[in-house]
Amino acid sequence: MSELRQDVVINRALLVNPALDSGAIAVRGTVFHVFAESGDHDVTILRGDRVTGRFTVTVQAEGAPPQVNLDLAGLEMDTGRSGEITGPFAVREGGVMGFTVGQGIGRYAVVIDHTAGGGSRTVLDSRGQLPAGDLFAVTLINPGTYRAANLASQARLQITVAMPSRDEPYNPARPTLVRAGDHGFDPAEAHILAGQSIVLLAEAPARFLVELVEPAPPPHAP
Amino acid sequence: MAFTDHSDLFAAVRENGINKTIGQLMLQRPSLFNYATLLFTQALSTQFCQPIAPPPGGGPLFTVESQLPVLGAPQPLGLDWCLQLSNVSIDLHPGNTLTLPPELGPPLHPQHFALHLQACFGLACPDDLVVANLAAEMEAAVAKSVLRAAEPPAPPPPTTTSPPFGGGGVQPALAAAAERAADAQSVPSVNVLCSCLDVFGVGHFEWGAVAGFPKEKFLKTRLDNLEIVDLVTDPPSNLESMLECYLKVVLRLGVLPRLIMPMQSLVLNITQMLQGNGTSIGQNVTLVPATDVPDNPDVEDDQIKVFFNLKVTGV
Amino acid sequence: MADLTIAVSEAVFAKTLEVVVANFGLDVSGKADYGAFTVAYDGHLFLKGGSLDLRDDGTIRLRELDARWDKLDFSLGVKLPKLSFGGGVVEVPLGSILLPGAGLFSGSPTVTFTVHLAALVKHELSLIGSPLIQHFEPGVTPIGQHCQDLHAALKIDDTKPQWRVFCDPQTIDFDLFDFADTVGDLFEQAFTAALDATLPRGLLHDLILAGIGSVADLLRTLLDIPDDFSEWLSDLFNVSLGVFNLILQFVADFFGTCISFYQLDDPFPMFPKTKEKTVELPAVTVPIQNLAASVNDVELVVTADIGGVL
Repeated sequence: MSELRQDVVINRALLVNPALDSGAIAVRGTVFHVFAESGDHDVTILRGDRVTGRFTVTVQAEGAPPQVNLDLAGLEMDTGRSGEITGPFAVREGGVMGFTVGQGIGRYAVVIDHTAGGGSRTVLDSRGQLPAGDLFAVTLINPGTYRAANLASQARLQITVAMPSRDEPYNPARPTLVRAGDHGFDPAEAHILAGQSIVLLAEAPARFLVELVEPAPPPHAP
Repeated sequence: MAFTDHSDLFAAVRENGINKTIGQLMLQRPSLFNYATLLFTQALSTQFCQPIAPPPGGGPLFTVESQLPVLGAPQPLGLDWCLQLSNVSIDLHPGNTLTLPPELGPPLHPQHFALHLQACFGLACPDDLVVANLAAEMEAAVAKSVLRAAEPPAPPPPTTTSPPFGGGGVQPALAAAAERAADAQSVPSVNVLCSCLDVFGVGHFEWGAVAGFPKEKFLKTRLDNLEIVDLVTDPPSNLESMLECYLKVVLRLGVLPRLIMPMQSLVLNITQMLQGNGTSIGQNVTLVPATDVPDNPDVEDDQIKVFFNLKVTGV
Repeated sequence: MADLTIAVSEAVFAKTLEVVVANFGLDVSGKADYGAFTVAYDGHLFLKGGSLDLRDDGTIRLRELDARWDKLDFSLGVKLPKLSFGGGVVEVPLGSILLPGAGLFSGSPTVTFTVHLAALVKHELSLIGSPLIQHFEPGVTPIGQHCQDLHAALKIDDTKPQWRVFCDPQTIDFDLFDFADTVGDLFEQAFTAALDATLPRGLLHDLILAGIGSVADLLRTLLDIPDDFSEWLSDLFNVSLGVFNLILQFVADFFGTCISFYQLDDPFPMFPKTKEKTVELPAVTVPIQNLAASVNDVELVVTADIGGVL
């Protein structure tokens, strides 16, 4: 009864399943940095060893949004060769900047220096550990058993990802928060539906790695 | 009372309309009303009893006929002549525009029409000098044949040269006329003697088939009687009757058969769409004369009326 | 008094109507871009049935003609929303954080599908008209392209002068588009099938369809339809796309200036051309003048005069 024409390009990167590492941000992963202090912050975006972007974020007590999200792959396309991005970016003090990757196979890192008072102090180098207060969110699509590890504390978290059943309402935009402290993850296990997100909150400096340990058998297998 | 009370379709033409149509016919097809020998295309072209206007759409001025033979001539000789019918008009029942002569039994009977026309006959009469010259030729021909009887047979004489014909703005009937010209020598003359007679007739219309056209119905004109007016001889003779006979035959066999009209041409282009496209609705649509009326066609009220029914059959 | 009188009974008129109606055909097509979605339509309308009355007030009434579509294809192109995984809001000690979703598509996510609507709508046509006389002059009297095509199909000769009698519509009653309620199901099935085919079989397909939930609701949201599809679609055809007015105009032209009920050649060929003894004799034609037409409750009467020799 119907015929089709389509101009749709599926984001195939979603189907690929590499480990999600807070030290190398890729598709399905987002690092959130909380700007605790006001003042100018220099942000450098790296892809491997290559600088793909630089900009300044002004953190203000008032008059700025509490959250700004940036697509690091999109920024790379916007800046082209110069590496300088026209801002301006402003975030409220205590606010958050989320660094995500919308598409592609690139892996990115973020370095943030606080440049108040003439000096410069690194407040985030995502290649190492996330400072306390920062977050790492991962979206898990393929069903199966995952393991989230905090490389700083060696703590482990088992995450079970299941396909939604036909008779339950399903909404991919229902994230689950897990706290990562010195003594491990809280809760100790997480159960989510495919396509939903786990948000790991670093209560102490942490480096997170999330991997698929055992994929679920495909439902359409003969 | 509606026109279509007794039929699906009705058409009527008033006698004015018929007379205008006859006028158009005489203008556009003069050869139906004018007959003459071939010489009238050339030497005698200005000698018609009634002038003939060239038809607007082209075509012959007259129908070519054979010459009048000179009987007994030792070599074939012919006289040129013309016959022209003009002032043709019709009066439909009740007859109120033409006064019929008493011989035709006025008043006009119901369902009949009265006809009037003028018939002019022209004869190209040679003068005495031409006849004298030709007489000498005839005598020479006779003498030759008498003397030849006593001699051994000689080769046959060459064919007589025909007078030139063709050309001008007229298209003669070519092959047959050429053959006749080779047979009879025209007696040259420059004067055409004309005599015109008034002719009245009465007739009626009828529907009929025509051999070879089983699916068509034709409206035919039938001449019942004819009367030539003011042709008197002393003592009285059958001359008028003989001429009336001849004219009747000419009209019945020559002119009137050419005036038959197929039904479809009379009415009603409304049916062209039906007939042409009836098959698109799975039907055949044809016209048939209505039988539910006392007269069809009906001649009355100065009109000729025709009645049809639509016949619809599945494909 | 007129030289020529021709009368056609109501029954013959009705028979002519049957043929005229059988040859009525209107092709419509068009498209429009409404931003969030695009539409295109392609249809063919025909007539069936109906009855004809001649009336004493001099008018002709066509009643209860069924107007149906033997083709009415409707294509809808919908911009899909930004479907994504993940996302949502998480509550942390410092407040709420909005997670960016992982977008499913790159490029222009538009899905197009076609539904066949012909069986889901029908109309009734009635009109009242009066005889209109035209003297057609080839090359002078204008004929629209649509009309020319119809004339060719009906073998109407436009190369010779003619008197033509039309039924000129004074009022036309044509039902508005009113699609059956089942059109909503049709759209839902078609959109589902389209999405189904767009998404590659496997995990993403199952997840996304699970996430969309009600395809019908999604479609309503994308098209901004407050209530049911049939009302929305009917409004589209009646107003936005202008198809309704297009049909009205065509009906007016078809009956009023395109297809005549009666034609008479002018000059009229009384005797056809013929050939006698190798001589060509041209046709004898008579000019027709002062053609008039009138209607009463029994018949159409056409009168005319024959032109005399000048």
